[in-house]
Amino acid sequence: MSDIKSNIKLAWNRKQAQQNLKEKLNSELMFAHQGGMWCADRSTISFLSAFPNISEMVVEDVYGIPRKVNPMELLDLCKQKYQYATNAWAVEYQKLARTRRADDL
Amino acid sequence: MTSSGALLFAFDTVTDQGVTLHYTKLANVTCKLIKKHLDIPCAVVTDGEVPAADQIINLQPKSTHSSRTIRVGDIHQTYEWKNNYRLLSYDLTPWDQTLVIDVDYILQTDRLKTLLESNLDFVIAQKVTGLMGNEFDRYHMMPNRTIPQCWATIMCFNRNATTVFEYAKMIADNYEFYAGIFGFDTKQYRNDMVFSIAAHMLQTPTIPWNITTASSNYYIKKIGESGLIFEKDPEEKMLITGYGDVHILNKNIASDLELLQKLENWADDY
Repeated sequence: MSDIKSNIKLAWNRKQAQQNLKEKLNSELMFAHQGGMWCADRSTISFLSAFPNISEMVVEDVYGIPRKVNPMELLDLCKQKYQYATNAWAVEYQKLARTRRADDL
Repeated sequence: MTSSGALLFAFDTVTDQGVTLHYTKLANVTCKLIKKHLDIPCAVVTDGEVPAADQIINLQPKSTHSSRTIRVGDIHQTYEWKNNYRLLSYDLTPWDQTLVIDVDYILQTDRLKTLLESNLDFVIAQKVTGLMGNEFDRYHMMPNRTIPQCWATIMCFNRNATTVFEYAKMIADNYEFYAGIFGFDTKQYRNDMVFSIAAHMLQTPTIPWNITTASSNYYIKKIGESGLIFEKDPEEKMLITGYGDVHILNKNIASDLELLQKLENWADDY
């Protein structure tokens, strides 16, 4: 009976789990390339997409340091990172959405 | 060829209540997780045995006169905090590029590989978030709210980081002086304080993502394929999924031999 009671008392905060999952996604969007640290977020992808015909340009990395990069090369890496991270996020998110009870974890 | 590896510090200790904190066993788990997720060798600074380590740097713990109070189970206990070798990381490491992490930092991803790939001269953890989001907000700045607080939980550096460590040693040698300026306690030596000041003065980069930390009122409830699930106690019974890498402050992780064995099995199996 005490086991049943303790299980009943156990609550699983889905919202918090989703936020923790989002934290993991945010960290997975970060990567290193050509000496700089980059974030493969939507704004970076949009910005780099605006320079399709340039082989080298200066872009500010996450630390505010200007880096000379090949924008298309960096764009490809950003896209790969973004897709990998967000696909994994979506899979885990769906698992969370199906979990109703603490015992299901 | 540049060598990369992890450097850990593990000294077993006994609290004033007679509870042994098996940091060497915990380091063994961490070494396995590092090899699994980061695929780099591990060197451990210790006075004991860590079978999973690639290199043992055998040193006797120096007396720190620094005590730490923790809660293990329901009992508050005090022990001598043997934490002063971290300052010598640059001198002790056998690697050209070193990742220093706490032995209670449980890896579940390869996230830290990014730091090694960036080859920054020195980078340290700064942004910390709790499992419930905001438990560590009050630690974002130093006690007198002047400069950001960093966490020596994770540091990554290469052979160009001499200045950072020399500066840190100077701060440690004048700990009381800096404690007076920044408002932290002199009764307990903390590497976090020393490296926070050094990182700020030298404007070193910090890790650009949040380090998830489970504060001391979280216990590991389940370990398995889905990772670590924590239970929050005593305020409310709540399970929280700890996605990604997690820094676990609850010293139960170092004192509970059954839990340590489960973590070891998990590190081997998943």
